[in-house]
Amino acid sequence: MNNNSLSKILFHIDMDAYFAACEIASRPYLKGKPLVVTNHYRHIVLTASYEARAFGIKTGMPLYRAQQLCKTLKIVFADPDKYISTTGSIHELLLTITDRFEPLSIDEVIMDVTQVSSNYCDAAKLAYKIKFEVKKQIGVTCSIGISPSRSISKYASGVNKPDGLHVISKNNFWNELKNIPASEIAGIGSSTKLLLKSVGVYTCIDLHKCRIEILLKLFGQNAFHLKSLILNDAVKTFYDREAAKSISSSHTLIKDTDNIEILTSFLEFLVWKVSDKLKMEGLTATEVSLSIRYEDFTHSNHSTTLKEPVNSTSMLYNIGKAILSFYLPLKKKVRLLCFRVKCIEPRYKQLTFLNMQKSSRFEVACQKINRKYGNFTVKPAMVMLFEAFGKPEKVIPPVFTDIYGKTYRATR
Amino acid sequence: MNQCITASVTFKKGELIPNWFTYAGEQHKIDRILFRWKKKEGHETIFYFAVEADSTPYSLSFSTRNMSWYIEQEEACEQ
Repeated sequence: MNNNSLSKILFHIDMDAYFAACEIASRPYLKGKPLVVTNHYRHIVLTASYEARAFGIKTGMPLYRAQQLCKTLKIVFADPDKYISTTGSIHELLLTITDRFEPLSIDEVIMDVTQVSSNYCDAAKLAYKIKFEVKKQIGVTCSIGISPSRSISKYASGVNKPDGLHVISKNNFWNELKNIPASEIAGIGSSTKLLLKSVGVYTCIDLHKCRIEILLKLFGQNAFHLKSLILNDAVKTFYDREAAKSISSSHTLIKDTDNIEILTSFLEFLVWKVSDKLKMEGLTATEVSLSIRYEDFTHSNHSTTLKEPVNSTSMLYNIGKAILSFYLPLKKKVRLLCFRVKCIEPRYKQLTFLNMQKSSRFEVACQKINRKYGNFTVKPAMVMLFEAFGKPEKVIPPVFTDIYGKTYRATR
Repeated sequence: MNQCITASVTFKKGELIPNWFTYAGEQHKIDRILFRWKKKEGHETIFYFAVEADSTPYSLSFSTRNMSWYIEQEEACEQ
């Protein structure tokens, strides 16, 4: 096999136990202690420190189970602003080296260093420099995988975690592929793994050598994607982001419910978020979908295509409500709602009807207030129902006093 | 806590660097900035600093809304 296609040097930079690392860096007294970061409502382990992982605690585990495994476990509530801000600082640091990197998630980056490193020796030195600077300037550690391919770099970054570095250079690339199970590649899940095994594909080299006709029979058009996984080396620049194909907002409820008023309120909350993003980018959408995850983790999805592109909050909300009615009557409690708009295009049409203009002016005014004073400073009263749902009784503001001093409990 | 405090800062290449702060009647010289992050609330930006002064960790914040410094309340939930 020739090495012509292995011309690039790619870094996959993966932060180690990122949320936990940020918390430890900001609270040094937590260093060396078993720690988990959890959310406020569902009490699921979002990230566990390496000390906690030694007790068998894993991401996604219920908090009570984690506490059973480790009696001295420290628990910290997640602070998304902290993590987003820290990621921004890491990106700024990486931009001083090259702008040829793509953030893959909040704690992962794929970086093309071909232009700044002439060979793998230089690349390894650069990787050590990045690790050193991230630790010194940000206060967290990262693991870096180096190889000529995106997927293999990602695999390599996980080899020596935490604070590790693993290089798969183009000279030993094909040999290494023989030892890497195909299921280790991101994008190959358990079902795909089973299908691949049925045609004798166990390792990455098997996948690379497998004829496309065989994969096409198994996976249809996805076969091309699978086949390209091993040698994909395309990396965009940091500034060259792909235009969004869809915008969605999903949220897990504090507790499962089949109360339609709560779900409608929840839907309005999601619609506001999606509509806000659409307006901020000056976009409209012609396809709307609503997905539901039930208490037993089964899914259902309904969507509708519109004649005219929209971005109005009230119109999207009405469409969302109409889709929600398809699910009624609910047979199971709902765990998660996801509101999504697709077929996105720039807004080109002015609204013509007077009432629409009024509604639009109102929404623009709300948007301006929220920009200035923070998200959901102004919000529909209906959203407050969802916000209060599942929280302790004292948080719900149901009592008010009239001008005669008489108190009322808010009822619907 | 979330108590308003007096602090001395340096602006260096667009970066905000706290040097010392006065808390509980005492001036504390900041030896190290351990971690920093920021949060936006509408037009207001809050800069957070985890610092070490006299070998003791403190959480400070600076709000652009009223240009004030605060000692932040610890949120760690130990069970």
